[in-house]
Amino acid sequence: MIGYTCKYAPVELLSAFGAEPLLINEEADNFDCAQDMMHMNMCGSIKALIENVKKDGVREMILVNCCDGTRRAYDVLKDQMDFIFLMDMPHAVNGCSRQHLVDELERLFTAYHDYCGKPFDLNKFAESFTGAEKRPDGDYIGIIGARVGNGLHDQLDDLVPLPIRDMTCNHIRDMEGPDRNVLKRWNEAAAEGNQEDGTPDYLREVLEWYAQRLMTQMPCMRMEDITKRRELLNDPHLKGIIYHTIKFCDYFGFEYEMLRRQTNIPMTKIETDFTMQSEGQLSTRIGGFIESIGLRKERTVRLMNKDGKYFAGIDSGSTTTNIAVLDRDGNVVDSATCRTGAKAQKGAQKALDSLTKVDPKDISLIFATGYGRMNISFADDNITEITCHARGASHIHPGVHTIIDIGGQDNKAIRLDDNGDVANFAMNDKCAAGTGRFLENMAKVLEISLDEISTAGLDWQNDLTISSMCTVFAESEVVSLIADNNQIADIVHGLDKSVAAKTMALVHRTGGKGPYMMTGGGARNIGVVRCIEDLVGEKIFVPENPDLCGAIGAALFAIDAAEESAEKIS
Amino acid sequence: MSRTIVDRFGEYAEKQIDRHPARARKLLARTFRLYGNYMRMKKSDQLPARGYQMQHCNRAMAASLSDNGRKSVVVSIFTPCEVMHAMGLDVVFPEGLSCYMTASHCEKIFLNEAEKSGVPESFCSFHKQFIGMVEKGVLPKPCCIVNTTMVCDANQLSFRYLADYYQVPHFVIDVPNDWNEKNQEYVRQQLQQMALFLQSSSGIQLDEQKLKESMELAQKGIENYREILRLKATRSERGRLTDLMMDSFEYHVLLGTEETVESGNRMIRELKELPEVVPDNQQGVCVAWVHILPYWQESMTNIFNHNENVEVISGDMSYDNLDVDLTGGDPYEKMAEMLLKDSFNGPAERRIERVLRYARDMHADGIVYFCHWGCKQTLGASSLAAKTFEEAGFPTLVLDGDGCDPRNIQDGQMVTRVQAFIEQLEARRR
Repeated sequence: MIGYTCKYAPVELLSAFGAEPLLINEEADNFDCAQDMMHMNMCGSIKALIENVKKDGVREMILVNCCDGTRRAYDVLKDQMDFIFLMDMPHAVNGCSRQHLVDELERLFTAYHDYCGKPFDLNKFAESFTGAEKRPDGDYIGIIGARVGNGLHDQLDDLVPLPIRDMTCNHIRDMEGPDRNVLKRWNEAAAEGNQEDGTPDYLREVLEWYAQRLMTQMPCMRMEDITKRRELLNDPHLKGIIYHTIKFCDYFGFEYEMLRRQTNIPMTKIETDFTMQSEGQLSTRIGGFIESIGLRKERTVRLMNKDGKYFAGIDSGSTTTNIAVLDRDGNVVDSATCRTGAKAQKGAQKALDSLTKVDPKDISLIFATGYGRMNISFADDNITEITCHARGASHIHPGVHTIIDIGGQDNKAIRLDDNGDVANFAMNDKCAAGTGRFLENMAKVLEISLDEISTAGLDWQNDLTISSMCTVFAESEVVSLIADNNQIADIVHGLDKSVAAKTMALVHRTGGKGPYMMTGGGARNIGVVRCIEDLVGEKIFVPENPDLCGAIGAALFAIDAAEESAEKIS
Repeated sequence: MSRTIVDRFGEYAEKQIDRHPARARKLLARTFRLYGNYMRMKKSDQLPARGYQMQHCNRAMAASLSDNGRKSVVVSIFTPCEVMHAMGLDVVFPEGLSCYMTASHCEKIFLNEAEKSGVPESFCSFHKQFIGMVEKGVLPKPCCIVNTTMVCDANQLSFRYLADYYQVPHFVIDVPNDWNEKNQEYVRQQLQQMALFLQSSSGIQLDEQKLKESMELAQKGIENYREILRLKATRSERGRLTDLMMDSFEYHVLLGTEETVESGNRMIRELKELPEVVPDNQQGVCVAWVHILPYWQESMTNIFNHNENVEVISGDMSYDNLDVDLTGGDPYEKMAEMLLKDSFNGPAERRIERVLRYARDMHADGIVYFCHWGCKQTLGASSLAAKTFEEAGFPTLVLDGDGCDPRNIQDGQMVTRVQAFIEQLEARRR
């Protein structure tokens, strides 16, 4: 087996020598080896490559000079392989660059021939072409951007109700083989014998043809001319895009931004580090996206008695669980909040038991939302918090266009269209900077309570800036500021600004505009709200109970379901 | 923490940048020029030649921002600029301008602006800041953009972004990973096309005689720098981190100018006047530096600038391209050879060997390998380099930091690591 990572890898050439190329595309469990051999701030896919090579005992590799990371992977793996080759892939597609690629292919030909000692078999070469990757029949969701590991691919496949098509940098390999006439001509030339140095004299022609095929595939972002990539979007069956980026791979953030501004195809971005993703966060993101484009899987709600009186929404968050009970007209008649604890089910039951005005028996339907939404067995259905927040916000404050939700472990910005439906949303990635957890940690460092930190920054005098992006760095920066005798109010103000800036990056990503509303625990932090108000330049609406927005939205969906059932019954 | 005059300038400049970018551009250009003049005249501990060098670099940076009627070309730092100099075009490069903006304490507004435009957080901060300058309207529109593909992935992204933004012609020099005759011919053809491209984009004709002169100046510059390093191997300059950064500008995009030659001539004259102290009567320890220098970071300059106990004697961004002879022959072929043989191009071993060679020749006590945030080609080779340097007898510090974004560093930890490393080298000396 010879490992490869890139769609430009000349695998057919190697197959002609009897090699068995295999795409290395697994996520890593950890990066222990890679960090030891390289550096922790390398792109996740390169680190995963190193881990997989070590774990699986890969002894042969063909790498393409496609990025800084791959070049360095070659450097650190070189002495540990039986065969490894770094092929120079030109950035441009023109006559000169094709000649350069032919030279490179010739170099590989010689190197691999010398290594394996086997002859180049033209028929094996021709047979190894797999043609263009097949498109799904009918509508599909495309994954574009940086390569997606096999594990993530399977997760997405489970979460998306339509077929998915991988159009990332190591897929959409489009390699048609030579036609019969061409192959016949080569075989005839091959039969005429070899040159004196042993190199088949028809080889140059074969390699010229092959170089042309390789370089005229759908360009990846490292190529000079990427205009052809627009074709990826020109398919009426493409119903939505999941745009994938990898931490510390910078190529694709640029394209995502370009697409975000230019395309009307619904799109969501996920960023990973090429380890397996937390199912909770991924399912919220993908689920929210799927719901926002109207592709939700058919609900299997039991038919309801049309006289159902109360409807509940349970928002099972990472820190707290909130329940809202609505009457059929959408009025909140009861609500409760309690700590989620270790299990979503228990937290939800506790919330249900905490209701004081409504007997749970009178609740006709319960819809769950939030991280734990899929683990609440007594809920009749579940919808992501993205969709529920949007629904709840429009109900509480009609006309709102952007919701900023600062939760315990993630922040969201949700942009609504004029009908109150989700037009776009963004969530923070794995990093906790700017989340409720971040402020909780900082409160501990400053030895003040969460309630205190919410107002402690209001009376600032000296405009301090916490410049570190990372939670860990920011913590040590705060420690230094304390050591330098800065006032708590000034430090907290600096933290509030940093949370606001981080949150605004999400708002910008969604193209957010006023009126704004804040929900989640972060909305109770007056200092943060003020700093965000400064940045958006307008007053932000904060509901009386900002934690309840998602639960209210879920309850409203329960009412809808009941109405639908009632209609079906009648 | 007291605010310095530079802090105050940065705050004022950021406000101007936000409200009146064109005015801010003039303010920054004027400040760079005046500061260069001031450093030229200022009496200080440093060699007067460094004042001349600072004035030269500052003028070049000021020209990047000026509406001086000359046409400018945006280039990557490794782009051969002899053709541009021969044509009288100003060269603008991200690494240079970003360094100057950070030194002027007005980097935040550009970095934030770039991130607001969707530039990834992990992107090289030099390029990120440069995009911020474009988005903020501070960088004047160039007549075209030329960059190489070598060394840094960011080149493929930021220059395309700029070309799109300004809607100006863009030329990419595709540089293969290794030197051989075929690759040299491939690059030579591209450089020849680049010259035609520059002429059509700028409307200025290239005078081949002037190109020849520029190549001669480049050759003289390289010879000078080889001599400077030879002299510095036995003499102690006790300079600043900024000096090495200026070296990397002069011996890349400013190579092929009369000022770079003059700067080198002065350095050689003044270094010759210094006593030969190394290695027998050396005071303090000598450090060879790899990659970018944290010239803007007060804690680092407090340790390294004008210090009798420790001196940074070389930076590998200034001697990556000295192993070529540019005299005679086809100038495009020579430039191609220079690019392909650059120690930053090709396998990491090439760069590692180059650092080792100069560390030995210049009697370094240890090596600092600086991992600039987002620079994967340097980060990825850090373990390999540290291992090789250590095996060759050079204690090595792999130091994480950032060449121009204060948000990506942990200052206190950097100081501890650097000081502990210096103590380690001092103990070894005893």
